[in-house]
Amino acid sequence: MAALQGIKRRIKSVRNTRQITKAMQMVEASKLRRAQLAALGPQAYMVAAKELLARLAGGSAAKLHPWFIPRPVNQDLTIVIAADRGMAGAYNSNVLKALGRHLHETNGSKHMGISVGKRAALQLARASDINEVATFGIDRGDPDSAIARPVLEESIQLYNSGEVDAVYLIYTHFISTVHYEVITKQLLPVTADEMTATESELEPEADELLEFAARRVLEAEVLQAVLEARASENASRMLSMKNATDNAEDLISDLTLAFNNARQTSITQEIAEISAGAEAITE
Amino acid sequence: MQFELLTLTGTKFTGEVSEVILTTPNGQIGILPHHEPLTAVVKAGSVVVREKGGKQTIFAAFGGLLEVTEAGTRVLADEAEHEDSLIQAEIQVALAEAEELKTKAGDKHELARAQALVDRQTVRLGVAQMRRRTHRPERQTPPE
Repeated sequence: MAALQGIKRRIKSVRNTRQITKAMQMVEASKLRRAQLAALGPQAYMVAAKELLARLAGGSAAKLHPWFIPRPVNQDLTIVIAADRGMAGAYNSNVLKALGRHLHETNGSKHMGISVGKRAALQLARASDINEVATFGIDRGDPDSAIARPVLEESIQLYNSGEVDAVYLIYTHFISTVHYEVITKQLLPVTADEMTATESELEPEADELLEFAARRVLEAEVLQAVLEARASENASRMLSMKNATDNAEDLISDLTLAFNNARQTSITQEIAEISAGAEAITE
Repeated sequence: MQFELLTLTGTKFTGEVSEVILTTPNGQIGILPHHEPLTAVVKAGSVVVREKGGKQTIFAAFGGLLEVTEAGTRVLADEAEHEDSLIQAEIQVALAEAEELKTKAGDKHELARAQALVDRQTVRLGVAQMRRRTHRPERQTPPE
């Protein structure tokens, strides 16, 4: 009987876990739908914006603007976008691994970091080779440029003041529900695409326009990164919760089998005892 | 000429047009086919799109970039609203609310946010009013 009670208790507890993970899966699925739509919104804009910036960067006016001129890197700045919360499978650790790889590759220079999302903030605070300068939440606020702007402002300030000589962005590119890819890309200095470079008339003055355009395109890039990071996070969490639910179901069916076995054994035993007792009396 | 109006929330317009009229810091410009390559800042205000058949569509765009290349003309705006979604009475209410927010603003940030709202509603109102006027065929200057 004691064994039966124990199994029963375990089934109950696994059922509770399944209920929780199932609920989390549903929540993430609905969040994912929204995040996916939000991430798709700026895509046409982004393609056009990148083309525009590449064309500008190839033009002669950009040869004179500090945002477009690579300089020797003494210190770089990395913007890391991860989740605010865990329970999303390998999502956070994949991003942070990419950060580690990136720091290793650029180990000739000193590093500064801006984190978006609490998990990224924790990692930056822990790591000894990167100096955290600012941290932002990712879940807060609507997915609009209000998230991207302060991040970019901070980076541009550091770049303009000469404290950092390059700005990188690490985020996850959302491909599908089951697939995302961690991407490391350089924001500043803006890299030119010589192929598409064309000279065109600029209005207002070249300097002003370049800065305005670059700021706008970079802001859109950071925003897009945040949106894709959110979508990947939701997808990743949904999947890991689905796995957890499936595991719980397997466990429940195993435990139910064990429970039934144990119950049958105890019934058989009782019958054996009763019939043995009855036989003893009749004899 | 091919014209695209792209925003962060999606593509608002794409198609063959005969003229696009918008505002840059140097003033209002009209872009006709075969305009020379140009990259310019677009101020918040109206973007008037004239299609081949003479159909005219007005958008309220909240600042962005204009790019004219041989392939076509593109406007990259943070946001743009189609004229049909601009209802004057509603905007006036929103503008009044925004102005009230501005008078109530406690600190610099609140004031800036309220001012942004006021600016935005002013642009929307301008375009909504313009729409009523442009039912007549002649071109009108958009209000600042």
